[in-house]
Amino acid sequence: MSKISINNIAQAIADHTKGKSGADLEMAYKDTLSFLNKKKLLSRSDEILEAIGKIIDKEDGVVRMKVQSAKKIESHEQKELEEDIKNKYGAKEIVSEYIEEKELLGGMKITIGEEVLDTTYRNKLDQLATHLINN
Amino acid sequence: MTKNNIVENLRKEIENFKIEMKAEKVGHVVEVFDGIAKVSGLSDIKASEMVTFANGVEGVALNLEDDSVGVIILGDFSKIREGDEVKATGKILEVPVSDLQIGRVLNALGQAIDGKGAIKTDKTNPVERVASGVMSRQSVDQPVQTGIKAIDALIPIGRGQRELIIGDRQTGKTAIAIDAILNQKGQNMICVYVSIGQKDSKLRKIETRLAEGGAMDYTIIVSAGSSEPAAMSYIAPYTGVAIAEHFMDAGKDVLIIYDDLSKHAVAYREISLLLRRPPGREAYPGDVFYLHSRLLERACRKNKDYGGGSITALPIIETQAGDISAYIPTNVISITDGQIFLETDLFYKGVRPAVNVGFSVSRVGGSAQIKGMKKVAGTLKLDLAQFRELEAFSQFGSDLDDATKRQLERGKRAVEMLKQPQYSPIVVEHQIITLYALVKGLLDDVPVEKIKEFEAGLIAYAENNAKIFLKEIREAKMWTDAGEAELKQAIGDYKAGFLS
Repeated sequence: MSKISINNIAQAIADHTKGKSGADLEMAYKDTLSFLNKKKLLSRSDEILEAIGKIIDKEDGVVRMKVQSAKKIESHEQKELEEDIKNKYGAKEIVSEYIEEKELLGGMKITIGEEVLDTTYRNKLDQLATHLINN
Repeated sequence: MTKNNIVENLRKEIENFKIEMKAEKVGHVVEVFDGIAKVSGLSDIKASEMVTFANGVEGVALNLEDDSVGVIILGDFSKIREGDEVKATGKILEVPVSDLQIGRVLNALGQAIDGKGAIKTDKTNPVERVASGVMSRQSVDQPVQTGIKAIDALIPIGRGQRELIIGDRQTGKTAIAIDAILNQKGQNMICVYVSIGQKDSKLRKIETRLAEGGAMDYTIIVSAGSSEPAAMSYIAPYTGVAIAEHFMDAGKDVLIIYDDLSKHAVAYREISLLLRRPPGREAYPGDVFYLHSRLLERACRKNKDYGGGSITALPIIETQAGDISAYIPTNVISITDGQIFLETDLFYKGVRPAVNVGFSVSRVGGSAQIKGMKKVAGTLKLDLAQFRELEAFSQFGSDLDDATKRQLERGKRAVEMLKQPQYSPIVVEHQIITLYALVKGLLDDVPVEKIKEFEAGLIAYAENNAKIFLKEIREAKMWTDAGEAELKQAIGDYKAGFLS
């Protein structure tokens, strides 16, 4: 028997609760909780919730973006960036989070799901250091 | 190097350094333990793909699960923490290969560890490669001379063959391999010695021995020591063969020694169990046969259209209390083209190399043996088998007829003749001279305890008094009647002097 993964469980929960409201939704929540309890999965509820979040985002066409930069990104730049990402991923909506980190020195690091575009000076310096050590 | 030089070099390197900016696939370490990391994300990763951890250590994705990836860490895993970034490289694990690696000691990733500086290479070979197909291969027809009489005469090895060396601990398995490397001097052979899970002190001894014998001029050592993680032991033989393939592709002959594959299987078992793969017989995973078959299948002899190079593999297996029917020994016996079986009893009886001629076999090497050797060795194996049978029988102490007695005496001389000290390989023409004297019965009147002394003297004598015979063997690989008559005369003359 193959192992049931967290993704499988999250998908099942998302399907079970989809399109339900009121008493039905309440019932679905109860079912879910008793299932997780029975399978001793309550300790992994954080992972399951995260996986459910990703499934719902995918269905709704939501793309979550994290932008780390050394300096604050102006609002018109943010808008431009979000528009670009929206087109690239064919998303309906972009949910973005902007974080300022001085140690990045310059440039920015954009994280969307598993994909990362790192143009920070810190990254460039790290790569240069590795290159010089190896050569 | 002056200060200015250093600054100038650094400036050049920095100026030439270019970074290509692209989106990368990144995952995160969920847990890390005993050289294994479980990584979330990396949903598009391929099996055996290389990954890089935040501290620059590399890893290989082995287990592709639904919501995580099992990675073996090729390096220090003590500094990898939960939550660290892991980057997929998109490349299958590869190691640097180069002619400059000859004479060096490398780790399982192909990096120099002998303190003689880094090796600059442009070329890399994938660690896992599909073995050459039928159309690019050729039958084994050229010998690998190990310089050990018992092997070259009775269990001959051909270029492109896979011959297993199997035996208990302390029976001289590594000694045979090292002797075979030492004897390759001037034989147009590159040697790769892969040391798996061995003590660093033993490796150091081997390296020193090889250097003293001048063998490091054509030898590469790949080492994954017992203090390194199991992942390194798992990768080391594949790294060795990837390097060997570099030379084979250039049309050269390569001899590769895996010392030893029992430890390799144990390392793979450790990794598999940590990756939670289901255990099978003796707790080894189900694909442990494939582990060795895909490695040894890469030994081959290419035909002329494909460069004509070859890889001869000598894997070593350590048995427990002579049990050759255990899981890993039977697997490797069935994969290889024959085995050299070493026995503890023989070793302690003073028969060294402790080769059990009855259990040892070479399935394809016979066709690679030179004609002269084939002629003298033809009846030797049978003689020895009959000797062992009669020896057991004669212990009852009953009266024996003359024919039996003669056979017993001949057998004793054959056993004595096949003894050979370590690190003293004998060239094939000298082997033929001594074996010729034995099988023709010319040694029957030499006392058994004087056989070794006689042999050494005869070789020196023949160098000056059997020149035609030696020349014929060196050039045509077979003697003519004139050469044979000369040799017979020389043996007779020497014996007369020796016995008087």
